[in-house]
Amino acid sequence: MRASLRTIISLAAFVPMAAAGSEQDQIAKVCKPADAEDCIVREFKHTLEASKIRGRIVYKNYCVLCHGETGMGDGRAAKVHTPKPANLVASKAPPEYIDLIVRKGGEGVGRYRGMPPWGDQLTDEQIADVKNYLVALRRP
Amino acid sequence: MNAVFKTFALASFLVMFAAGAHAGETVVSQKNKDFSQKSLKIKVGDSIAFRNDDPFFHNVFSLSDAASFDLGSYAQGQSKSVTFKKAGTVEIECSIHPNMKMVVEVQ
Ligand SMILES: [Cu+2]
Repeated sequence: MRASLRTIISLAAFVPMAAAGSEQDQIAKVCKPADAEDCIVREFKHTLEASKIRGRIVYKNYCVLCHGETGMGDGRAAKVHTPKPANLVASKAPPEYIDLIVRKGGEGVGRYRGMPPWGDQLTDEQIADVKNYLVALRRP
Repeated sequence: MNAVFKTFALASFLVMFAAGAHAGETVVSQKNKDFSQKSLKIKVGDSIAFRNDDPFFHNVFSLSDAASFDLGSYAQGQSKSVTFKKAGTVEIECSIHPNMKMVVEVQ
């Protein structure tokens, strides 16, 4: 029972990765570079690529104010916050933590209250999208 | 007699002072993702209490030179107040709802 559960979990982790490769090929076949983003969001809406594109839109609408255009924590409202907004490019937080702090806000996870709770404002899809965008934004 | 007069004068002064301080606070409601007033004229030293009348979080902040602050995010029924200490135009915003804006003229 326990071993089979582990198998299912490892399979579940493996399948999306295996699918991602073929998705890239599919996207490259169908979408022309000129309108690649529109095409990906339209034709491949369930892929990670589409999620990251939608996530960038969420980010530019809501997060950019404090975290800045490039995610460095230098948005126009950064000046009224101490401590400063997090540098998301340098973040090493696990994706589940991003999900939690986005939904509950800084205060909700015992950190600085400057980060608002977005659980009421954003849909589950928007939160998943912005999480995928943020993970992709990171630089080692 | 003189002492009674002094006490009376002091009491009147305190009442006036308290009334003056009270008159300087305006309540602005945050409802339907909007501020209840789009613009407001107040005097230096006056304050505004922002009350959240929506069943979800709002925030209040300003980046204007005349007043820059962040009152944080707060839930329905809660209210946060800020005192304006400098004359000028103050643009008030909500970080959760980028379309929420109002302008306060501090004179
Ligand atoms: Cu709001």
